[in-house]
Amino acid sequence: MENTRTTTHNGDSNRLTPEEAKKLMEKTDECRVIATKAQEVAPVGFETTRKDVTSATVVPAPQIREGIKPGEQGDSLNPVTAAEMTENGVTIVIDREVGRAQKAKEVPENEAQRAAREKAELERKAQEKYEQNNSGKSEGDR
Amino acid sequence: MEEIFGKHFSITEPESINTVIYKVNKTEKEFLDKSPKFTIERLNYYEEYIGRNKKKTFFLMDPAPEGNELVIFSFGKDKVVVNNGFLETRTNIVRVSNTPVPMKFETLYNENETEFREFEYTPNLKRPITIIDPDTTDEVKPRLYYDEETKEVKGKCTLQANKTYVMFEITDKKDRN
Repeated sequence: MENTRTTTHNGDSNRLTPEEAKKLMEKTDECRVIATKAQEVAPVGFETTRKDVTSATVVPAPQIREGIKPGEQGDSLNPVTAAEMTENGVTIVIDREVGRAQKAKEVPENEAQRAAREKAELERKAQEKYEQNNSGKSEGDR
Repeated sequence: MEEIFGKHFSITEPESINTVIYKVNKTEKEFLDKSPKFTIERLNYYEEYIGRNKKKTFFLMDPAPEGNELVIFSFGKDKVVVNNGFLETRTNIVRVSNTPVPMKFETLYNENETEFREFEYTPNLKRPITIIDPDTTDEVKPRLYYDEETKEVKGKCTLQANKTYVMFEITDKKDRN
């Protein structure tokens, strides 16, 4: 059998050049694409798989400190939507507490985070106070 | 006569959509002790523009005689549409469900300053999980390294904070019931 390996193009290793595609088209059968009911996609008795799809966002800890591992900083993976694909089609998972759509456990605030939060709070208060004083002064100057 | 060792099929997609398709392979019994029950293989493709649309031709090599399941992702600006498909080897027909489901991203385009973070992610060879970057549709692969402390091979993955990624895994239905 001939080697079917292809080369990399534009950083996308799955994209073929026109020459490669032409060669493969000549050697492979063309298939028709038919849109059908979800239950009729796979022949009866064949479908044995379940496909779980999740879109999730990495939520970073509020403060990054050198030398502290990400897991210990409180980063978490937050599911946005999840879908299940079975022989009955694709469904969006509504109940995120079930199965793999489960929300990542919240990591308790560690000392570094607490210190960072308190510092940020202090800075915010100081800034507010400064702005208050400043605005009063400028009004009085007029 | 030259041997036919694969199939190809074409779809048309709008300019702003990027479709990727995976073929699902069932692992043979003798390899099950070290491999997952199902593995996936991303299909090679060729694309050409026809007006404002793209004609994308996918190539599926070594199809199983009984056919192959397909997993289809169409990435758009702020959502991905997921769908099931099946290639019938005998009849040369690709069946695609007419009820795909869009999954919305809430934070794909984030104006906030974001950063890349390293995450511990050691791939489980018995339970592979695929991570896809929806911007590029490339797979995010873990980098393996040797942890001197625990004397184990571990994995690291670089992900952008506050950005949505798509993950999927294929399991046997029986294992979930």
